[in-house]
Amino acid sequence: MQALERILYAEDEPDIQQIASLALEVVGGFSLKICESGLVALAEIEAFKPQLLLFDVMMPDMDGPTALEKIREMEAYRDTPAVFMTAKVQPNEVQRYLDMGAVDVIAKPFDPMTLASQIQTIWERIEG
Amino acid sequence: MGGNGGKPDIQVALAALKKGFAKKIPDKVEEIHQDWVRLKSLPEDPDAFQLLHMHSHTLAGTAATYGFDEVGKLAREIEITVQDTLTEDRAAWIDAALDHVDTLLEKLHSVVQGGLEHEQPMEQRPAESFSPGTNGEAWGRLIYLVDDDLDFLTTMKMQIQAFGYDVKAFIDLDGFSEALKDQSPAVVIMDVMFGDHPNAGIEHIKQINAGREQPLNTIFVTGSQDVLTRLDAVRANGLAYFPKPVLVDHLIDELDRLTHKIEEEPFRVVIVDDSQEQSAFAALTLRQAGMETREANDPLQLLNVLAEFPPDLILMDIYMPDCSGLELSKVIRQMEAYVSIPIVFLSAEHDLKKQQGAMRIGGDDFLSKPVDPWFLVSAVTSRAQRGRMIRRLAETDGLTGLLNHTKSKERLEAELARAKREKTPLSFAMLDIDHFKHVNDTHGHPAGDRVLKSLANLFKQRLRQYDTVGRYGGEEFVVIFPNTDKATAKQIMDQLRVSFNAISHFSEGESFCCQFSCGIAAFPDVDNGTILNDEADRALYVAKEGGRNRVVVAGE
Repeated sequence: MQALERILYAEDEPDIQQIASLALEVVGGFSLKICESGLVALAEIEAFKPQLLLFDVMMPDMDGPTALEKIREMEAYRDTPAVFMTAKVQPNEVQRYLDMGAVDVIAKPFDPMTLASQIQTIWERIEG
Repeated sequence: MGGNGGKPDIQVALAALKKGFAKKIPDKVEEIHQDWVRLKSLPEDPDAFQLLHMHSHTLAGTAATYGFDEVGKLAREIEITVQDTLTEDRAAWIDAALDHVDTLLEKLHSVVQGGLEHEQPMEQRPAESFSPGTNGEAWGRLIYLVDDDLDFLTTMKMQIQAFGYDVKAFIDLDGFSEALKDQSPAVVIMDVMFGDHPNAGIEHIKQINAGREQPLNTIFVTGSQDVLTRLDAVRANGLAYFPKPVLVDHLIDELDRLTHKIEEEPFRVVIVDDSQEQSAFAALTLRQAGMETREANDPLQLLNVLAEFPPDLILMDIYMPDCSGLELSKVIRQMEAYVSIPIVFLSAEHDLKKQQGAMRIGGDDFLSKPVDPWFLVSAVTSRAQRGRMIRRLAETDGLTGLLNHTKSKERLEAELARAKREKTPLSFAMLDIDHFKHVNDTHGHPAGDRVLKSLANLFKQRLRQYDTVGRYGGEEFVVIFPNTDKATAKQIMDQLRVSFNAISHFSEGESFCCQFSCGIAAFPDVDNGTILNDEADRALYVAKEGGRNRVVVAGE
C-alpha cells in the first residue's frame, strides 16, 4: 500500500485552516496544500498532485461538491479519493456526498488531535 | 503516517491558537450583531440575509472546532433560524424571529463578556469514557495532602492552611482516591513512599492520571533524592519534587504559582529582517498565537524600535544588506538594558559551524528557514518564557516576588515621568511592619518570613494591576499609585491596614497578628523622585511616632 502523503485541502475559513493545518501537518505529518475555495483547488491540483482530496462543503466561489465534479472531469484525478467535511451530517446528505464519489464524510467540528488518524484510517480502508 | 510532531509542541501550539482565536470572538459576535441590526432595518436586502447567515455559519463552525462549545451552539442556532426562512417572506420572518434572535445574541454577548471563562477549553474536554475526578469541579484553593506519616500530615496541614489554602489530609491512598471521586483539588501533595513500597505514591498518581483527561497537578514529597525516583515522578506528571524535610516557604511558592493562574501579558517579539514578506510572515504567525510584534526591516532602525517597544525576544535574520545579524546582536548585547533579551536567529543557513558562531555571540537559538509556523511559535514561546523568568529573578525579591529596591525606584521614576507628561496625580506609600523584630525573636525567622509573604500576597490580590508593590528591604515595602491623589491613596492604604490586621499568622501552634505603619507623599505636591521618597519616609516616621498602626500623609 502506498503511504498517504499529499492532501489537497479546500476550506475558506482561515481559523479552521489553521487548526486543520496543525492537525494534519504537525500531528499527522502529512503534506498539505490549503486552498481557500473550490476554484483555487482546481487551479492548484495539477502542481500539487494530491493523493487525497479533503473538501469543505460550503465555500464561496465554488463549493466542495461542484469542485469535485469538475475535478472528476480531469483524467488524472478521476479516482482520487475525496472526503467531505461538513457540519450537516444528516443521513440523506451523507448519502448524497457518497453518491457524488466521496469516500467518506467527516463531521465538523473535528477533533484536532484525532483528525489525522481519522484520515489515515479512511486511507487504509480504501487502499488496503 | 509520515513524520511525527512532538506532543508538547502540539499542545503549546494548540493552546496558542485557541488563545488567538478567543481574542477574535468578541469581534465576530459584534459582526453578527451588526448584520442583524442591518437586517432589521433593511428586511428586503438580500445581502443582509446572506451576511447574517454566512457569519453565523462561520462562527458556529470555528468556535466549535476551537472548543468554545457554548459560542458555537448559539451561533449555530442563529444560523439555523436564518436558514429555515431564506425563501419565505422576510419581513414576516423578522417579526416572528425577533425575540428568538435577540435572545440568542444577548446570550452570545454575555458569554463573551463573561470572559469565555466557563467555556471549556478544548484540551480539557472530558474524556469519553467515565473517569473519576473529571466530573467534580477543581476548587481553586483546595489542596489534597497524602502521606502515611501522621506527624508530617498534621504539621503540614496547619502550615499550608495558614496561607489561606483549604487542606484535606489523607493518611492512605484509598481515602484519597475516594475523595477524588467527589472533588478534584487544585493541587495534590503526594508522598512517594508508602509502607514498604518505595514508589507507591508515584504509581498511584500514574494510575489515576491514566484515567483522566487532564493530569492532576501533583507535587511529590520524599525522603529519597535519587535521580531515578525523580525521573519517575516527572513521568507521572509531577510538577515539583520536594525532599523532606520540606521547606514550607518553597512549597507555598509552588502552590501559589500553581493556583494563581494570573493571565500573563502577551509576549512581545521584535522581528528583524530586511525582507518585508519574511518578517510579515513571522509576525503573522506569532500574532495569531496571541503575541505582540514589531517589525524592523531596516536593521539600523532596530535600536529605535527596541526603545519604543521593549521586547521579550528578538527574532533576527542572519543575512541582511547593511549589517549582519551577528554584528547587530553584538551591538545589542553591549547595551545593558538588552543584555538578557533572548535572540533567536532565523536564516536559510544550514552550516553548523556558522550556527555555533551565532550562538557564541549571544544568540540563544537558531532556526532554519523555511521554519514551520508551529515550530516557530513553540520555539519563541519557550525562549521568551525563560527570558521573562530570568528577568523576574533579577528584578524581584526572592521571598515575596515583589519588585526589589532598585527596580522599585526605577519604576517610581518612570511613573513620575509619566504623571508629569500626562498631568495626572501620583501617590507613593512607604510602609513598615510594626515590631517586626519582636516577631522574629518570638516566633522565629520562618514565621517572620511568612508574615512578609502574607503582606505581599494581600497587596498583590487587592491592588490594581497598574499599581506597583515593591519590597525595599527587611520589613519595609513601597506602593506606587499612578493616577491617584493622596486622599484616595490614604483610603486604600487604610483598608489594606485593616485587612492585614485581621490576618492570623501561625507558628508552632500559636497564632498572632501583625500591623503596619505607613507614610504617603504625592505628586504634584512633590515633583522629584528622591524627595518623594524622603517625604514618604518622613511621614512613615511620624506614623511610627504617633503610635504605629496608622497611615500618615506628608504635610498633614
